[in-house]
Amino acid sequence: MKKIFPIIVFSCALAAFAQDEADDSAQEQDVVFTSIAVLPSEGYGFVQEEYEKLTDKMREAALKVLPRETFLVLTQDAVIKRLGGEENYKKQCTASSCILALGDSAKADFVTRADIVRRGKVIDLRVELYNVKTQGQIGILTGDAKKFEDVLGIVEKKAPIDVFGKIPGAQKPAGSVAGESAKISFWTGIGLEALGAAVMFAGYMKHQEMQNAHDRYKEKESDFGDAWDKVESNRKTRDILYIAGGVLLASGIGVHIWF
Amino acid sequence: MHIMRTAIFLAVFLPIFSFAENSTRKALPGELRQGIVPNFFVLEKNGVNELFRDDIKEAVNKRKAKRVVLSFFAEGCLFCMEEFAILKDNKAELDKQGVLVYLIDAGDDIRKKGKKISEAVKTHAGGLFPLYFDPNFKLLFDFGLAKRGSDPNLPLTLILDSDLQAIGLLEGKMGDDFPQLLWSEL
Repeated sequence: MKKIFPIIVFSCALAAFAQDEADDSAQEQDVVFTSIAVLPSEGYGFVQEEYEKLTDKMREAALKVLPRETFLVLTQDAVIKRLGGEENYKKQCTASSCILALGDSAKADFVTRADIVRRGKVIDLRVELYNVKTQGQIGILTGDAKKFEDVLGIVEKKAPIDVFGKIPGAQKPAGSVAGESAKISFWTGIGLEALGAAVMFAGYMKHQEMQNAHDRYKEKESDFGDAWDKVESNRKTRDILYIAGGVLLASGIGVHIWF
Repeated sequence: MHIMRTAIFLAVFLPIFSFAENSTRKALPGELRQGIVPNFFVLEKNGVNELFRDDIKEAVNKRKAKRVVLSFFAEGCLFCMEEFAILKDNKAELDKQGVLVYLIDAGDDIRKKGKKISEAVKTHAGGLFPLYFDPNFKLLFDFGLAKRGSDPNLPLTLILDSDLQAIGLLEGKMGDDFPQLLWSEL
């Protein structure tokens, strides 16, 4: 009879585990991805290879801030296939106003494209991001540069924040100003907490000293006035250290919460 | 007088009842009269995996199917759910006659309603037919089955032959002539 109880408990645990696994599996299947179509870059004054490099840079920028668990940046092949193949895609409009129509055709949730135009010695860059369902523009990046490589630099640096960072659910890019700031806040918080703990520990040590001084005072091991002064001095120092440590510790926790 | 009333009743309502028993056929729009249906794709319930026209063609060849039914529906459409029950009840006959059925939700947001729709389809169609989504009515627009700015009348049932050429279009709930009409002359 005694053996039955552990068997029942084990069976229940096993069943609960199996249920959890089944739930997890069901949840995985229920994930609905947000799709982003990065359309092939357009413009004039550049060779095909350069447009492709720019498109790749755009995709890299998207992948920097869009978590792969819930977002899917459609591959170039997938975008072209959804738009009816290379030939059909080229037949469709390439004007800026057509980005939305292409996004709609590709059945993507968000659509973006980088356009570059060479005007004399200056290259103009324009990136637009639209929410296909609402047909609203939610991100834009403009800039100019003298060299094509500089255009890629602008996209690499700014597109994760000014374009893809505008998509709800996007993360802050690692290494960005925001990312660096978060890192600094984290370590500042840790530093304040450590300092607070150390000061409070010092306060505790003073408390011990105060008790010893108080014991000596009671046992009359030292002269009356000096023994009591030591107790008072230790008590004051202890209180100051406790307060200072508490403030530092609370500040550290505050930094973690607010930043 | 009583006989007269009965006669009038029968004269008015019998044709309606007898008419309601058959499926309502609609003329094919111009977009579907030019051989194989226009290229298209629909999405799975995860919002990204696609089913292309060529995938259906491949399935037709693989299973030697004779007919393909694209059943367009939407969340909250009662007739659509009744239609699922008809499809479910005729599943064995559809398989026997080589009919591939695809349920395509039209116009609903996968993210907001996908789960609910999947569950409703599972309940009413028994999970016997593959479910896909056309979230922006794009497919219906491209097929000429809906116009921009106005919601289509659902359910719509598009019947294709094994070459994926449209051979019939039914509007509203299927009638008693379903599924026989799939292999009879439409």
